[in-house]
Amino acid sequence: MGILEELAAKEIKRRDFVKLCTAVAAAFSLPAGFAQDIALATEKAMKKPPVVWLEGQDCAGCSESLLSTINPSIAELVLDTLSIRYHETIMAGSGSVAERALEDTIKEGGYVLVLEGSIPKADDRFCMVGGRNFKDIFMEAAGKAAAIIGAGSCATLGGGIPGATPSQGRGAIEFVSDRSKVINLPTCPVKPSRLVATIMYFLTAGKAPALDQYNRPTAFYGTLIHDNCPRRNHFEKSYFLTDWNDPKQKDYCLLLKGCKGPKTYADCPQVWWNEGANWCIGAGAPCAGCSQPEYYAGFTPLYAKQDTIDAGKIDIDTIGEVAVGVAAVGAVVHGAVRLVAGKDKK
Amino acid sequence: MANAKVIAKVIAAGNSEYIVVPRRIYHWINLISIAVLAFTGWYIHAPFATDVLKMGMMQSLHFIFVWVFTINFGLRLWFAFFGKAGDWKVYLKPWENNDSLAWTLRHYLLFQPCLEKRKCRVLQRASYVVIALFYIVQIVSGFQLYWPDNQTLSLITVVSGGLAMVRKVHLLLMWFFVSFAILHTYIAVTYEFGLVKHMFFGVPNEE
Ligand code: HEM
Ligand code: SF4
Ligand code: SF4
Repeated sequence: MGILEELAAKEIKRRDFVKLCTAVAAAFSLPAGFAQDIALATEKAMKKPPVVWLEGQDCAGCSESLLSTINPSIAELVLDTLSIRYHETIMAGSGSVAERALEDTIKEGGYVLVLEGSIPKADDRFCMVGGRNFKDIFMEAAGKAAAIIGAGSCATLGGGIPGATPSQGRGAIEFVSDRSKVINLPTCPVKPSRLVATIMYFLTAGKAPALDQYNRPTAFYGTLIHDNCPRRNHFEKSYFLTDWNDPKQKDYCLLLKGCKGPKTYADCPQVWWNEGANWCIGAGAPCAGCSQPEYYAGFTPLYAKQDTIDAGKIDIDTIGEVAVGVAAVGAVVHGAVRLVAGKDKK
Repeated sequence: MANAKVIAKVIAAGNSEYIVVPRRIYHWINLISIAVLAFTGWYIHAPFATDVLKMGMMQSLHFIFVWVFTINFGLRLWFAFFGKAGDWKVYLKPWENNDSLAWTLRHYLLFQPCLEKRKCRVLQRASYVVIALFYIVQIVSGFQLYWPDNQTLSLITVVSGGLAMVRKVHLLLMWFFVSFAILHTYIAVTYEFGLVKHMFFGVPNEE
């Protein structure tokens, strides 16, 4: 059964599928004709199922984000049909049968490996699966993968929330030897449209899309939230939200509520979440900076504007005020002592 | 040179130095632009709503004086290394200039008189070298913030750990410049007021 018949069985029309392919082409600024290639490649991929999905120190939230939309989205179904060979949360098989499926796939090689959750850096034993170190499982799968996708903040640079725990969770890129194989798709959770588009692009082009210095596709992580924010005009006019209960301030800039938009690269203002329902700042919540390596520890407290040295420990303004105070008091004391000592008169 | 004699006289009198006009212009422009940059930068960092001060206005001021500051500093560097009265050696090779750390420390910590001003300037000059280096860091981090999508500058983002870190460095240095300004003013005004008048208004320093 080709992908179109399969989708038809799920009451997804051919037109919708081509629309998705067109959206993928547009996301990466490819010519419109490319959509056809994407459709073909996706159909071909059907025959040789290519995705292995491993979960490390995670909350399964990224899987949830992908699979639990109220109205099953076309993107989700395509990913579903993209034959995920191994996925602890959604696969039907269990126990040794499932593990064998993983072993067989690894032997074949050439698959896309998706990592959800982080790998502990402090001690391998923080994360064990079936009696084995998760790190070993991951490294084994990473060895023969055609591409490794870090899905969600935990699986990418800063290690997300596990990165802030004693396990010192870190993403795929900090463990594999060939970093160029890694595509990072941070945000908490991973955004389904980005994940699907990246997999489809990889299947079509046979290579990763253009990446930035953190191995994030520039198509999704190329611009600052702050530079595209609908509240930017309020920022320029210094209308800052200070009280969430004041209806007048409903649409004010969230900077003083700890918005990390000025430090965060992502396309959230342009491509909203949950099939375009809304996004953080649209919903009145400051951007938490979840697409950045600093997230989570480096960006706490999330709801206060504070710039600290060393992951939330010392406030830079406190350092500055102390330095200025010491300089001023020092000058006065020195001047007084010098007056009293009165020695260096010419 | 018309003032060659004045220079010789001033230096012979044991005064620290004769300040040529370009250096005085540089000092004025630098003072004004840093004052504006520090104030607007501080507002950008910790804004509050008023009817007068607006973020857009503060940013615009910051971004105008960014160029004034950068070009002025660039010219000063050029002047130091290639100008007619190039003075880079004074700062980078204090040992060639009779500067003495021991004298300087005795002068400032034990209040001993300094017979030749010139011998007690090594700390001040070292602080200007540090300041110059920090200016460069401030300019590089500032332009990274100014052009956040720029790929040639993005190396900085990697080395320092993201735009958030670049902002922290930029902010920390603002506080450093303010602290420096306090000490710099104190020492200049109480120890060498003649030089201050000379620097600002061109009154020959024969103190
Ligand atoms: C003595 C020189 C300077 C001082 C004291 C200074 C100070 C500051 C401070 C305190 C901030 C706020 C940082 C924060 O978000 O916490 C800032 C922001 C900024 N500065 Fe500077 N700065 C200086 C020079 C420069 C230069 C040379 C540039 C070059 C382009 C620059 C560009 C910027 C930019 C783009 C921002 C961000 C503005 C925004 O967030 O809207 N600054 N500056
Ligand atoms: S809400 Fe955040 S991203 Fe939007 S303008 Fe304000 S600070 Fe920038
Ligand atoms: S707006 Fe900020 S916190 Fe929200 S998803 Fe985008 S990057 Fe993450």
